[in-house]
Amino acid sequence: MNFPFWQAGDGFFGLLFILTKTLFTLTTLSAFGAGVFLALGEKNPLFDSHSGYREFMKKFTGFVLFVVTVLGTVSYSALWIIYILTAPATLSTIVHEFVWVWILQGFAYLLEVGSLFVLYSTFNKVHKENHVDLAWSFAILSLITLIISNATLSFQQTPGHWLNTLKFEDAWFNASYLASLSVRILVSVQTGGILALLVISTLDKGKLKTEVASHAASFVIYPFILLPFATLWFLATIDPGMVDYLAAGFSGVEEGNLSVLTRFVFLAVFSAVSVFIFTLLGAVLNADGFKRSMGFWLVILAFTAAGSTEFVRTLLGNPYAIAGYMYNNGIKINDADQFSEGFLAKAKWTVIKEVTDENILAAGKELYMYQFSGATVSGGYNSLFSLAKAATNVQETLDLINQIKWGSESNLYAAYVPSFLGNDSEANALASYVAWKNGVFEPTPEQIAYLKKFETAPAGLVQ
Amino acid sequence: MSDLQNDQNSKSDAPTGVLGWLGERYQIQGLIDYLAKKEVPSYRHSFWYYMGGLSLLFFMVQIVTGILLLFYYTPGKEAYSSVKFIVEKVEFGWLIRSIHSYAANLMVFFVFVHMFSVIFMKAYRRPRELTYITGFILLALSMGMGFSGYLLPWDELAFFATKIGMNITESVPLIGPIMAGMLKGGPEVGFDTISRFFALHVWGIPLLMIGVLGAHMFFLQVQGISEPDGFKALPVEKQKRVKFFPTFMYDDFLIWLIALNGLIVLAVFFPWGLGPEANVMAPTPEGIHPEWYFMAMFQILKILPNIGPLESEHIGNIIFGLTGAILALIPFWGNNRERLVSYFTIAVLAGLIIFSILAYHAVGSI
Repeated sequence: MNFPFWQAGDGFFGLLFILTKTLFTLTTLSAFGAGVFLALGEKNPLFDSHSGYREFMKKFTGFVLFVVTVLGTVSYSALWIIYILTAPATLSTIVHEFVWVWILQGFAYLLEVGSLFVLYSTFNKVHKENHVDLAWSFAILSLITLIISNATLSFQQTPGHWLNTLKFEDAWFNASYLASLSVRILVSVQTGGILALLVISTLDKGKLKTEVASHAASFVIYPFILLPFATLWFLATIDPGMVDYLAAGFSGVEEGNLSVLTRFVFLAVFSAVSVFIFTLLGAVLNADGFKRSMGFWLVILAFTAAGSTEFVRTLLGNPYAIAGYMYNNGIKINDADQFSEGFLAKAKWTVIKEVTDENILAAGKELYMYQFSGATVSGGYNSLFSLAKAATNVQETLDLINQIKWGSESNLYAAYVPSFLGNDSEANALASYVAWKNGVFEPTPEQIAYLKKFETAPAGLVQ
Repeated sequence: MSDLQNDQNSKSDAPTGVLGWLGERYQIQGLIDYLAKKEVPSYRHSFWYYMGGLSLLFFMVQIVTGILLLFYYTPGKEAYSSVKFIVEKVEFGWLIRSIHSYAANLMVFFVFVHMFSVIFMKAYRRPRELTYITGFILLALSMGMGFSGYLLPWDELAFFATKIGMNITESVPLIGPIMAGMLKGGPEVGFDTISRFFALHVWGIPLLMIGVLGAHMFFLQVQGISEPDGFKALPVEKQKRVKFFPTFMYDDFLIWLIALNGLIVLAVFFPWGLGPEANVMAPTPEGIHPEWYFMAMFQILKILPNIGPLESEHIGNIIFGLTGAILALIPFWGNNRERLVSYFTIAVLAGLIIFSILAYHAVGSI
């Protein structure tokens, strides 16, 4: 059960969440690829013979340091704050259940950042071979962080045997673990190459630029060829329900009936292919002319590809934080039966305990906040308001609420909207609130006044 | 150096691969040498040079998607049902139509941007008068393409917007009624109008466009890209230039790639809609308006009063005709009036933006 929280999943915050998540994904993924680029780059004969090349390598190391430490930590902190505000119980459970993984991940990240600091500060100060070892240390530590974070992320998608055994090793080596790790490693190599190309775009024209650009481009191009196979492998390992959901989104694509999920899959594929073509045309065939603006646009394309993929992954994961085990709204399946008999009275942090005619809107809002706002964005696709848009009055809205009620066999939305938990009067309160928000219910002035009190001074209403 | 060495050197410089194969059969060495020498100035305003390329890209997209739409589109009585069939039944028909419609708008937009950038960079000066005039004709033809294509789906919006457009055409002094009659194919906008607009949209205007575009490109290739005063004033060592082939051409391709991404986002996330079928007997619904590039004219006509024997439409047509003629003849204003050209163009641009905003406000879109 969630603690009292502020609603941070709407409109601007929803967009901010996806942007932050994308930034975080790109920064964490780039570390390993950038590490490999640095280690291989220092072994290049140009490192000894060309001062410009050494200058570039130092510049790139500094840039990676900025990306991994500043952008990485800022986006990571922002994500935690958003999670804390939207789904504190979910977060608390995941951290509690996998505390060692989080500690391990944090420790690996500290080592990774530490090694990068050392790598940057020892440029031209230690023997070259030792410096190459330092670069490899950074790459390996980044890989370890990737391996650990992949465990928690893939576990949320495919908890598998863990649901029965609750064993740590079953959680770690879940069904999609290796497949998703291979996808992440390939994307990591690509993002490392893209970061390098961004720095290369600032170099002056010449042979050096051409050579380095072509080397960095190979980091983007070769993984791209392998990526479709890794993605197919990943799709073969995740919950068939998720694949069906994805397939359902594509079933009407020829006629133009496509879900938001499908649209983002389109965008992800198109922008990923564009990254490939852009790199080929800009950094391989015309490396000398690869200027700052092109580096910028390449990053934008990569950001679009990563952002849309992240959005698809999030949509596939909803409404579950952990598929089949716990709802993204913080309610455990084991508790669902008791809540379905009456939610407000039994939930710990609710202000309203019983629905009356006067508090019907406020009770509806409280039910919405605790059960739906943490799982779907209010104004977004799959939100309760969007699903109930076709309803022309409270009764039709109530029909929808009853359809998504816990245990309902006619629930068509079970895969992506949390089931409603509550008794009949609570269902009616939720339906009234949703219908009012959708403009098909005219409440009394008393009901609106009560809702205002609930929104501004809830403490005074505690029953 | 011996003849043998000379021969070997010339052989090593000769193009290989496809160009080599073609070179052995046709006299293309001159063309290759020309492309290798051709340069484009590189400075902070160089990005305006890509606007023409973007217009060309969207024109090519129009042709490809237009041909695909032609496989299923039927003008006349079945116009609406054939578009509905394309959108709802044909595999990826919705996508092709969306791309076609957005590309049409983007083409007009970039032709506008290209024209204004050419004026502000004074690229219309002697000896590039004909390049400018052919460009201006291409803008007019692009707008004609948009107008003629707008009616083809025969939905409510298309019908009434065309009706408004025909009323304006009819009010042109002397030739207006004849032009409108020829376009409509009868006293009112109807199925015959679709057939005529269709012929213009898929055959007449594109053919003209290809011809004028060919001339425009030819002038451009012969004279090269204009270098603005600011660039020419730079010391010679600071005047940077890039090779047209391959540097500028690859840059163009990359920008096209970004533009295609934008086009796909628009087409996939906001598919072009199809309204209810047009009913010629129905009264004009509220909020009907033409495409965005005719909105300023639409608004000006609404606010103009009748003056003496002249009706507002006549006055509007005189204003639009004069403005268009003055813009088209900018290269012949004379070098001492360049500042006036800039002020006039700023006034036209400001007018287009302000009246378009007012028009959208009036129809309740903003």
